[in-house]
Amino acid sequence: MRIASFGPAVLPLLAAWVLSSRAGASGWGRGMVGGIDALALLLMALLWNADPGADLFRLFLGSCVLGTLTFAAASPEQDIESLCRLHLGASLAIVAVSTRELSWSVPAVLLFGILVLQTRERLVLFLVPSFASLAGLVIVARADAEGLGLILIVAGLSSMWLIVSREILRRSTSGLVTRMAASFMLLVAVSSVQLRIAAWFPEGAPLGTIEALALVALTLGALGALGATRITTFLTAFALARGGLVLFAHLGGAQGRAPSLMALGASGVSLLLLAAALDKTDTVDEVSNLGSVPRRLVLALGALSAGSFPPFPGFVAAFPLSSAVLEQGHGFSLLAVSGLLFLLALGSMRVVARAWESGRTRTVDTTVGLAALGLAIAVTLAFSIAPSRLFEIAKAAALAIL
Amino acid sequence: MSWPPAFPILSVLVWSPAAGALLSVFPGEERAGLRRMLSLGFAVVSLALASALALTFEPGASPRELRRWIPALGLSYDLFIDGFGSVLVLWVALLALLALVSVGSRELGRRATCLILLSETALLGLVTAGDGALFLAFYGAGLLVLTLLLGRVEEMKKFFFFQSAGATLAVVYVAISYHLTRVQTGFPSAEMARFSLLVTFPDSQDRMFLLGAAVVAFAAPLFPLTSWVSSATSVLTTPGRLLLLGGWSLAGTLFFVRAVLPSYTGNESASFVMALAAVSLVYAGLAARRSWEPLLVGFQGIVVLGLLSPTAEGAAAGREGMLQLALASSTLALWRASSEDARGPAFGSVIAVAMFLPASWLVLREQWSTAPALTALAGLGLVLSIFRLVRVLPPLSRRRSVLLLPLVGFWVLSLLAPARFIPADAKAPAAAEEE
Repeated sequence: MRIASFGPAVLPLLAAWVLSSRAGASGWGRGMVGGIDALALLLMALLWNADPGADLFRLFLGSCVLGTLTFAAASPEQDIESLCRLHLGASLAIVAVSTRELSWSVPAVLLFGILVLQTRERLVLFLVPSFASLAGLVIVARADAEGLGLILIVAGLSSMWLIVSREILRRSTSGLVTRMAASFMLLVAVSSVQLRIAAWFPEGAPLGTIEALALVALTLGALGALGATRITTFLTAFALARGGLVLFAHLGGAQGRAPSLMALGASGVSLLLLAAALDKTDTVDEVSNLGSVPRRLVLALGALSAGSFPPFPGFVAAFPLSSAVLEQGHGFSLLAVSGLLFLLALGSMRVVARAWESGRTRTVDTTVGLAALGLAIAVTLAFSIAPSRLFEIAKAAALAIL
Repeated sequence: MSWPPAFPILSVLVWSPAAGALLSVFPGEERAGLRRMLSLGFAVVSLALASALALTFEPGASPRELRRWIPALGLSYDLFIDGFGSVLVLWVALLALLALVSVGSRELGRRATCLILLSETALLGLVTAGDGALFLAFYGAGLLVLTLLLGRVEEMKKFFFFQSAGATLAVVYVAISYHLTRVQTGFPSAEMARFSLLVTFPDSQDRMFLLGAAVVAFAAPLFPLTSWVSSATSVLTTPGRLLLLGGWSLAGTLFFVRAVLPSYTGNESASFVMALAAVSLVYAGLAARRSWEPLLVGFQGIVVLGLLSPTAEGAAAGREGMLQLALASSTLALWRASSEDARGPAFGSVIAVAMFLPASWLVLREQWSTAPALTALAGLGLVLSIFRLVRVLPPLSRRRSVLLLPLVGFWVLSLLAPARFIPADAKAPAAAEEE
């Protein structure tokens, strides 16, 4: 069982090796990569049931990482190098969510960040928060100023995620799924560290820092979603906003952990669907040209889920999450977040309205990939018709954080 | 008569139009006749079920479907109907059928047919939902469908802006009520019937009432949140206008009735909301003279005044006003929104006025004793609105006049069943407090 538990971390490395070989660019090579990723995901699911002593929190977040990876591998991505880096990063992300040692998880997250950043431009923006979190790690290890150390770790990792997401998402309009997958996997890794810190240090956890960062990210995201004209900026805004929401969910204390994990899952799904539907589209106005009905349906599902608009995925988590956050005394922040989610919903409607405008001649017939369509159907069923099982899984994972 | 417990009549009623929408996607544009038959078939099935429910309704034995949706979160799939609901489901089913037959099969494309049936499901869900989360799910779905029915980007964005503001406030309201229920009982629940227990939180009651009233102000709408009305009604075709004015105009006030009023005990904030309602009526009477859309705002004002009435009769008149507003607005939907050639009185406008007058009279009469100044202001607005309505509408074509018949028939029926509109607790909150 112990050997099997290494499988999910090792298999993406094997997939990365296949991608870096000559077979990586061929159809069967890509198929093999998708198969390996799916196998890793299956192994993770089997471990959930087979091992009674398994760390369910690790398995939940690991499944999020591997599910995202499988989705990215199944999408029609042309840039093999990005996909290869994503697979290497996935192994690091699984290490980060699996270990209970901050001295392992924080460096793993930072390594993942630099791996997917893929450019030396604005490297200093990445390095400053990274060094801040490493400094925080040293301070926490020396245990002489635990509070400051935790603030530096949390603020450093969150800022690093913000910067990396912005840099990778705005780079180009093709291969959006792979880059969104990288941003989300990094968010999962950062969240695992923050949730563990909140659980391990209930008194000293830097909740004020998390609250401020969450509101900043959500504000930037919501305003960006309202004003962006380029698709890359638009998607970056949504990624930031959902990341802000996930950070905000960490304020719910013990009661809020399960809804926080549900919000994390819903964020991943909505962002990946949005990226898949908007791939190879340059501007928000160009969305009016999309002709494929499945693509427009996936776009509407992704965009409205990202805005947590009822009845789309992520909406039901709002109730327990609000209750937990109110109980912790963050009522005014909750009101602010509601207002920002309203702005985000308006941002979602910018693309949905264009996609479903009537009486237009539509010139782009490219449909959305089978992976996106499959995910959309699975998500609709899981979140809308049978969310109970999903919440039980999230609850079991939340109980295992300690 | 009670329905067999094993037969989920409410689910069948709510979801059969959605099934029709799904099936109506398949026939291509060249098989418009088949699509029309399919859609009409499903709409007729809904109407038959709604009629059966309305006719067999008994106060103590009304059907209810309660299934555990997410037990750990206290959210359930809870559908029920009370006396008021039994009238509303019948109205929504009739309205959807009218929307489908109001234009020819060639005019009504695949997209519009599908959206009309989906909006019927959303509206029926709104009327029957007993759980706050489920209500909001149908609310969001209905809002999205109505937005898509508009078809033009700018109008969609404007409509969505105001309506989603209302929806966001409604989510906040239900989320806070969910939290307070958990604090009070130890168990989380979004069941709207439990919201009446929240009167034990006097500190938050006033703010919660204002929050609920803000939902109505955005969704209904009340003055000054009205700028979407003209643009939305002017781009919609007749079926869309029918659904927007006759169906969606109920959504905000229905939220008020189901979620807000149960915990309302006649607080100070109500005066502010009543003043807003009276100003809405005056606005309807004085706004631009060549179109009838502002009248919707005025009608909503009188409904809100009625719902906040201190007596049971006034509250019942408010509920009756909700339906009669929907009926009168549906009558207006048969005209184009901007009637620039309109001059002279017309038979149709008299019908629209007549539909709204009984409930308006009852509301004003009940409010007179407690708020005479506001009632006088509202009455002035009502008189101005009625004059404008009679002046602004041109004669209706023969074909459209036929569509007036079921509306008038339904109105007469609703007048014959006043008991259905009396709230289940049979007392207006303020009266209960006085006791």
